Amino acid sequence: MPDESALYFVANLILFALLLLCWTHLFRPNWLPDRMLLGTLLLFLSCQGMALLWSGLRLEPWAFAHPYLSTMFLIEATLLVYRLLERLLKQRGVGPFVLTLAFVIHAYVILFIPPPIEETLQISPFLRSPWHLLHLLSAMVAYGAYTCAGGGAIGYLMAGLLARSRFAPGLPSTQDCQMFTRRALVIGFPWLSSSLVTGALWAQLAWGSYWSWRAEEVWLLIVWLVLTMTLHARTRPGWQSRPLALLSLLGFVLALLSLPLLGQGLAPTW
Amino acid sequence: MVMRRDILDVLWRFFSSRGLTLILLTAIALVVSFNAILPQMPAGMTIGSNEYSRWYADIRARYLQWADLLEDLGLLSIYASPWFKLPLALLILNLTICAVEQFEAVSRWPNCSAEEFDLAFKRASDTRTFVMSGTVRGAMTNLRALLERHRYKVKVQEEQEGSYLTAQRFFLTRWGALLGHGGLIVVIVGLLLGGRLAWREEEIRLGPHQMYQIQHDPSLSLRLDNSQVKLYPDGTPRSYRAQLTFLEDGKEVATGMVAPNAPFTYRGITLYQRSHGPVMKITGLDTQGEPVPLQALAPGGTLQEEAILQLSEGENEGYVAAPEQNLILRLVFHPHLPTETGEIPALVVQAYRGGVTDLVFSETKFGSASMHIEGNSYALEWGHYAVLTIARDPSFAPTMLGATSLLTAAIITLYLPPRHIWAVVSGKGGVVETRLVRLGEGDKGGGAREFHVLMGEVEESL
Repeated sequence: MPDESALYFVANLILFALLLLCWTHLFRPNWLPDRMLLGTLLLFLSCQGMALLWSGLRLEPWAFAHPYLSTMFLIEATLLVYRLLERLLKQRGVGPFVLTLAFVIHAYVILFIPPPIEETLQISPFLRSPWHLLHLLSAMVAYGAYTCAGGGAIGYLMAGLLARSRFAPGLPSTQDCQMFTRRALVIGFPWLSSSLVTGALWAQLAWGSYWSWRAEEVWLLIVWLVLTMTLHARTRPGWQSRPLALLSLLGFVLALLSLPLLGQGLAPTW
Repeated sequence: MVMRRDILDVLWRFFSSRGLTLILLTAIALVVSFNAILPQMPAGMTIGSNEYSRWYADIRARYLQWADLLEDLGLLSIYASPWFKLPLALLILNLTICAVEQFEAVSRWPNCSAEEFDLAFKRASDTRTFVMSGTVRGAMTNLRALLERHRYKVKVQEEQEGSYLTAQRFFLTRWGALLGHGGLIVVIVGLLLGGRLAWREEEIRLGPHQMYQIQHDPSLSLRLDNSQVKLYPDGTPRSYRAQLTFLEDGKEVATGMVAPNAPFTYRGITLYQRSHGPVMKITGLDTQGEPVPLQALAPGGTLQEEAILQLSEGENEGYVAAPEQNLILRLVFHPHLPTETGEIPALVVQAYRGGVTDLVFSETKFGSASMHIEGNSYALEWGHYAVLTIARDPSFAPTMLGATSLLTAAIITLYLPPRHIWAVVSGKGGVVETRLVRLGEGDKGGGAREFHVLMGEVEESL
């Protein structure tokens, strides 16, 4: 059975095209019709979604613990959250920053992480659990929201630097970036909390210990603490502008660092 | 007395502040991140034990003169140190005081005074003013009916300056923050108490029909009835499970299956299958057909008609002695032995004459098999042992309840935040002025959109 790597590669090309369109839109807002950007985004989501569905059917759903597939799911989640925020807030100025992050991660996966091969894929019996799958996928949705927040934070810092620039008339205002970042964090928090809860349930069923300070748990907890801190800070005066952007960026970087740990432990042992 | 009250007020304000929450969350995040940077003393290890000495020797080799300092500061067992426990205890205090304040706030309906309204009207991003002819009562009735149609709970107070209206939607979600803080307190307390109330017995290796007495409940013992393993084509285990029986004072009381992610519980005691491994049963017959006495060279091994060896990927070598034949059998387990058809698990059997290193027999076996060594026949039977954990943790259910409360609270407070609208209707000489304000963050969210729709309808109705 042919595998879906080609489809992921096509999705990467579409994402690159979308990225170029978004940056063009930033510098020349009237050149491109909005429908073109939306159409390309939906094309990417469909292509990547089909590839993920194919992977799930060809291998097994538990194979999403493989770093290649979990990161591909993260990109799909990032763009879904981005689309949701774009629709809610009716502004796409943050798009270039979010899409740049998404594209870099997508390209890194395509270039450096080998895709799972059916014949050699061995999944540990402990990972064959719906709770583990829920834990992993909800963490990916939360990290997708964090990628959007990271993009929003970069957008905020750029908007602060280039506030009076004539070259980027499509650049969003700092308020718009701030709102985008806050909304993205709000979307991410329940998903990250849900990931911690389902992860604890899985660990209890698998090893009889819902919390054992494993590296994966600790990193997820650190990301959750930073996110909780950011959400508390956003309502305090003096913390709503640059500190919020910097905290969001810190959380995004920590989320990225913890990513390889979530896809660990595929191979079973005697 | 007054001074004492002042000190209490200051302390109350300090412990209820959101700034303190931020500081404590930062402190906990920093302390927890030590776990990701520095090696931590494994759970269940006691200071002074041989295991600890070996572990600490490794740490000294890695961190040289810094090892003692790290140990003295408690950074090598961070979760048992005051660095972790103190901010956690302060966070519980902070959350509890915040929860008390929130309880006070959510349990009463917020009334709006003239000063509060004016202040909110100045600060809010969404405000509207309508001026028209009519009566104050008529305008207020219309406004109230409209807001109630939009599922707002409405309360009106009559004051000298006019009629004040406070309206709230998603009123119950105001309890969300309280639920979340309560849930987090339960989770932290559960985590702290879990270590004291829970017990576990780990690394219990049981071969077929072997028994184990539970140390924390001596009336109960456990027997492995059978163990099954499904393998990938290369011999790596795909899944495994074991059938076990609980015995109470020697009588069978419960039988069940355990597998990864599928534990078996009896009387609050839960069995988990952590792993498995190959178990080899070796029997021998001499030329007259009489059993050859064998002894496994392992702790507890005695001279019997059969010898049993439990091997694993880590401890893959075992020895069996046949004293009457002056023979030593060496068995080496290879989980991934390369063959023409791929990698498969195999056992290399070698025999030595006692005291001599020359081999008298060497063969590779891929399953249960028999072999002839110096006229005697030996049968090799493969089985599987199960590695079990027995645990009891009464803190699991309350901790999960707390975590679920926190999750529910996060969803309702973040996705369905309460919506507040305040209005004041005043009239003079047949002219009625209605001022409305939407409280809350000045964003483009659902609350703001709904307010604009409502204002359109208010304009029509008034």
